[in-house]
Amino acid sequence: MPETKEKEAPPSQEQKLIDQLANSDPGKAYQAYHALTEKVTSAGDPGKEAERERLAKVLAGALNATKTVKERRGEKQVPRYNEKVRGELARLVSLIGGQQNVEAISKAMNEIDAREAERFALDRMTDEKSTASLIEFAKNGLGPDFRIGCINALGFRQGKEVVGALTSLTNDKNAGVRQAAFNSLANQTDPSADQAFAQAIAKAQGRDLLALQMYRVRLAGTLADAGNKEAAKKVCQAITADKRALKPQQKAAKIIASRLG
Amino acid sequence: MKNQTRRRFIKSSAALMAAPAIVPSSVFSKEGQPAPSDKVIVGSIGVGDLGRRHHLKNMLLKNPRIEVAAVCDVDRDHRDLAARDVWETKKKKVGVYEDFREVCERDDIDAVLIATPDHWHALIANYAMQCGKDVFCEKPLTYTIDEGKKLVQTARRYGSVFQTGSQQRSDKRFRLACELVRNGKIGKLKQVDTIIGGINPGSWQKPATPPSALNWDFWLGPAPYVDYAPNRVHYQFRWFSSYSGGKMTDWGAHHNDIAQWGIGADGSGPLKVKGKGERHPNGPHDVFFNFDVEYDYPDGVKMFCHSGPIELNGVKIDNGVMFTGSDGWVFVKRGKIEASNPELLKTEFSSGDERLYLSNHHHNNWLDCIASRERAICDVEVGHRSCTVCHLGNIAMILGRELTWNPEKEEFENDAQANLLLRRPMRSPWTM
Repeated sequence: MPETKEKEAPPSQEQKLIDQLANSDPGKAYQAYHALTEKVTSAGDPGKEAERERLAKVLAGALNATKTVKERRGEKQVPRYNEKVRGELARLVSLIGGQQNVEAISKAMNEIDAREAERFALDRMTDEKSTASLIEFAKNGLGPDFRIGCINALGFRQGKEVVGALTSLTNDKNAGVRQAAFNSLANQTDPSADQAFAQAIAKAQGRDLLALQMYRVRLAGTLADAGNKEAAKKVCQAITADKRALKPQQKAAKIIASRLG
Repeated sequence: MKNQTRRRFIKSSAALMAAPAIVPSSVFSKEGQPAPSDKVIVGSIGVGDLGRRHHLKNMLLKNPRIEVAAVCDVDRDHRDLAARDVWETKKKKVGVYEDFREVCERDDIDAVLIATPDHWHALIANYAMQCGKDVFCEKPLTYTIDEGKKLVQTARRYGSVFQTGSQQRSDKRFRLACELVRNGKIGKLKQVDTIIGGINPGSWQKPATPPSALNWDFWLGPAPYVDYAPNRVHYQFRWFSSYSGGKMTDWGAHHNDIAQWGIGADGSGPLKVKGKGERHPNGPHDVFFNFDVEYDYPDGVKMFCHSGPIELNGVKIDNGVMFTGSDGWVFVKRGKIEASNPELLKTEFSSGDERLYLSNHHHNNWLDCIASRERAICDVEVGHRSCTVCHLGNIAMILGRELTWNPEKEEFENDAQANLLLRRPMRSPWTM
């Protein structure tokens, strides 16, 4: 019997659109992106869980798809789609969500070129896996700008792991990373965050000092909004008692304290 | 202006103590003119077309209650031209800045006026308030609903005086229209229609090297990085979704703001929203250009936002706000107000009627409030809530389904995907 070669399935409509994202005609690429967006948003309708899962699989698969390129020393696997397309795919995946898709995005983030757009996608996803991935990249990602982006994303999440990671990052070697960690820490409803502020403010100068004081006021506001009046009052008292606190921050601390009763 | 005046007074007192005892006459008020110590010292951030032509030249420099101390723009040509305007008008050299943070951090500046592209508004306003400045910020106030919530928080925490640049609230025709509606002069309010216009598709341009005067990276700021193309910046940015919500937020921030005022929904908003929008099929302008969005407000009031033009109650409309009640209608646009019964427009309101916040000059209202520490007519929450109506419309069109909005929690109900669109991830290092 002659060997029969298994027929490849024809590309799905989504696959055609994904390929079209890479079209050199920007109008055609634009059409594909908006056609895919419509599919993704339509899959967000209540009761369309199966369609969401199917679509996510296709998009995440494309995000991680590789091709072989020949190099002088042999062959190498590189992403199948260019930076722009992968950024768009990540955004589309993020609108579907789902823990399994975090893995696809996190994996893609190891390629440097499109990782900012992919970080945007992870930023939008709200589950525990995405938080864990952001913590990992915040701590061990390559380059301060990228790490700062991950730390900023953590500022929109709560939890012990987040507070722990941010607190440790307030001691990072990089000044920008440290500031970003304080900025995100100010959104946490955990009152223990203030200890790090008190220590850092005592040593800070110039714009760093201003920024830390702004963040500390925000921390007081965050605690107050979360109903933790006592902790909010303590932070406000610390700000008003601090001789280095600037007038706007002193005033804000008084306003916040006055509303706590 | 209490705190600022005192601060400047202390500063100038110290300077006087160190100087010969000759007090310049300019320190004291000339008749009809505010003393320098009563002037509001303003930094003008974003001095391109609108910021320079409208705000700086026509409002700030002509207003005797304002002293411009700084101009700021990421385009060197813009900021240099603005500095020249100040010199030619006031014979005064001002600080010239690329980075808004340096303006906000100046102790001698009381307030800032922000007229940058939309994707920057909230970030700058938020920073300015935390530096103790009062703020005038152009509309649309925000790029996302989450940004608006944060601005309200910051303004309340810092006691900032905030004016949103939806200046139709300081126009007597719009106020009259809303007072007629609020006092039942057209009967029970049934429907509000806002007509705000569409846009052209634009054309694709090849990526180019940014002009040497423009800091493109700073211009993009929190928005995703793309290569520079001339048609992305300055006025045209409005039609790219990375920087703006299109006509929906550009003109919606005016007319939907008036709808909110007439309905009496400041501090609140609609309960449901659904809409259909059309994008230009080939781009590059990727905001909705043709749309109809429907909002449900409490008490059965419907609001429709159209790209238009349409005919309503026998009036052909390409721009404006139509309020329709059980007993009549009132239509208002810039420079024109009409009613089903023209006599309505001569209404003398009685003491029992509800009168709305009276302001006949948007910038002066801001200055008055800086002095009194009262809230401005288009306070931060007013601007935020009106802008929310616009964002809700865009989100409903993106998702293509009816959404239930909880104006108290400021969240969609039972729609995780919709809630993802309440905020945007920002390019590092920016965040809010």
